[in-house]
Amino acid sequence: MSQGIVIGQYIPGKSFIHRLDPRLKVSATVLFLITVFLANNWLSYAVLLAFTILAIFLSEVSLRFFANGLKPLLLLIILTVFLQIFFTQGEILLFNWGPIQIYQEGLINAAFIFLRFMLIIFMSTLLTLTTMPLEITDAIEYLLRPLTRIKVPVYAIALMLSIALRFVPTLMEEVQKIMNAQRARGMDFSEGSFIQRLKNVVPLLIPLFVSAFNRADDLAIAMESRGYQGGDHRTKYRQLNWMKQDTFVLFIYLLLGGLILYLRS
Amino acid sequence: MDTIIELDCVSFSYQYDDTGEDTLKEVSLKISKGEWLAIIGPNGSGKSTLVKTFNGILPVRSGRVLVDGEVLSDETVWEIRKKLGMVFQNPENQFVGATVGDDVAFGLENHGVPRDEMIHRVEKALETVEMKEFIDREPSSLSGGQKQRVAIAGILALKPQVLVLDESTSMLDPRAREEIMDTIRYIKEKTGMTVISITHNIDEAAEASRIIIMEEGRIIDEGDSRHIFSKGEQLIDLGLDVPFAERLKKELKVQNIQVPDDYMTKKELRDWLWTLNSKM
Repeated sequence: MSQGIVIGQYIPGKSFIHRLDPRLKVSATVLFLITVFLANNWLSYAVLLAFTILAIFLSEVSLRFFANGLKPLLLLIILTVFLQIFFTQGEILLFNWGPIQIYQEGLINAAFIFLRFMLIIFMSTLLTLTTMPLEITDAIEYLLRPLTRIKVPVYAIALMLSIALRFVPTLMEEVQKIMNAQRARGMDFSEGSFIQRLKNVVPLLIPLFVSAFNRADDLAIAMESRGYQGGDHRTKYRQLNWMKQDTFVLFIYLLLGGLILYLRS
Repeated sequence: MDTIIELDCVSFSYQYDDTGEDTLKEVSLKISKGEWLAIIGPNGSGKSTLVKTFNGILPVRSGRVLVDGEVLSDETVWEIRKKLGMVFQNPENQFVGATVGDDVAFGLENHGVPRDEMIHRVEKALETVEMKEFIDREPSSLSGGQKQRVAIAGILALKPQVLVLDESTSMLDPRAREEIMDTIRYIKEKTGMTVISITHNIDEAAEASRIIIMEEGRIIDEGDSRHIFSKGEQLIDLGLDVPFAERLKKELKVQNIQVPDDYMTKKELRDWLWTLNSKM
């Protein structure tokens, strides 16, 4: 059921990357995304690519998992690349088959877009492969903390996120159960036209929603019984530890950003 | 003996209930410190509603609730929730934390317990329910019984005076149920905590030093287990477990389906059922 979705699929490990503070990993990934959009020539892309390969190597996670992360977006990448090839106007005309004209600029743009996609997907997959979803939530909570000053309920949002994550397997199991129950009543999920199959989802979704609301109700009662009243006076069980290596890695990312700024034309 | 929970003429009705009838009808009850009280009764008799008024999850419409000498009110409700831990029916739906440790810590976090003490208390509570080696596990990798033990640990960590079990074993298999009961017995012996359990299970009810029977929002009888179990046949109507097949047969007869009268196991009944309408 959960196969094929790499986003949110943590691969346990003890590598250097695994051990970094999630706050560092989240902010470094954001920094990297910004840096990718700064790159605009071959040299800058080459540097970023080398950096990404090094990071993947350091994570000790098999390349297979990164490839899996590409799959859901493959169609989008191919489409964008072709759009770039066919619709970019430039000066050096390479092919001219009547309505189809391909310019050198188009090819270069397509290559850059392709690289950009790869870099972004690999680096964000690296984050989710080496960091538990819960740690990411913790990191986001910490990084958004300044927003509490303008009355954003950061803590409640983080708790919502972590509860949502915690219930993903539960609801997946529930979907399986409902599917089996409907199959036992003669439902066929794999046949029929696209529209028919879409319609088949309705008898799945309704019981799922009903049960999700029941669960939410139960959960709210359990939480209140255990003294949950929201607000910021709660203490925290989980603690993040920022270490020297985190500062070091942050410094490297800043350096990388600076380098790309310098290299871009 | 000291009274830990006292209900004084408590009535309650759900807002969405438009039958106009109260779910609890002027219930008065005293529960002593250290006692093990079982509440039995058919579904819809108000058992769960009753215990949910103890800690203000359901605010009473009239009457008074006193816990440890304090009247339940908006001011005292959070103090009272600290004294009264509740374990509910569905193991999955009361697991808040992303891991076992997080879940046990949840109540402590809510009450602002400092982190050092929190870690210590989480470990101790998990030790008591024999789940310490699972501290980093995620709920999806635990069985129902293990999740219920974690829920109990989450309550124990808060060091409450009363442990309320609201059909906490009803979704577990017999072995897990037995393990939970062992844990409860152990805790009861060690801490002398007051235990209140709502149950349909006849063995679980028998553990209690006092049993009360509820029907249609009232307490209709109370006594020790000998008194209650002498009611024999009536126990089925009181919502206590009889074998599943027997209950199903009873229900089928109500629907005018002719079920053979001789005793059937679950499997026999199933085989009989699925061949009922087939013409082969």
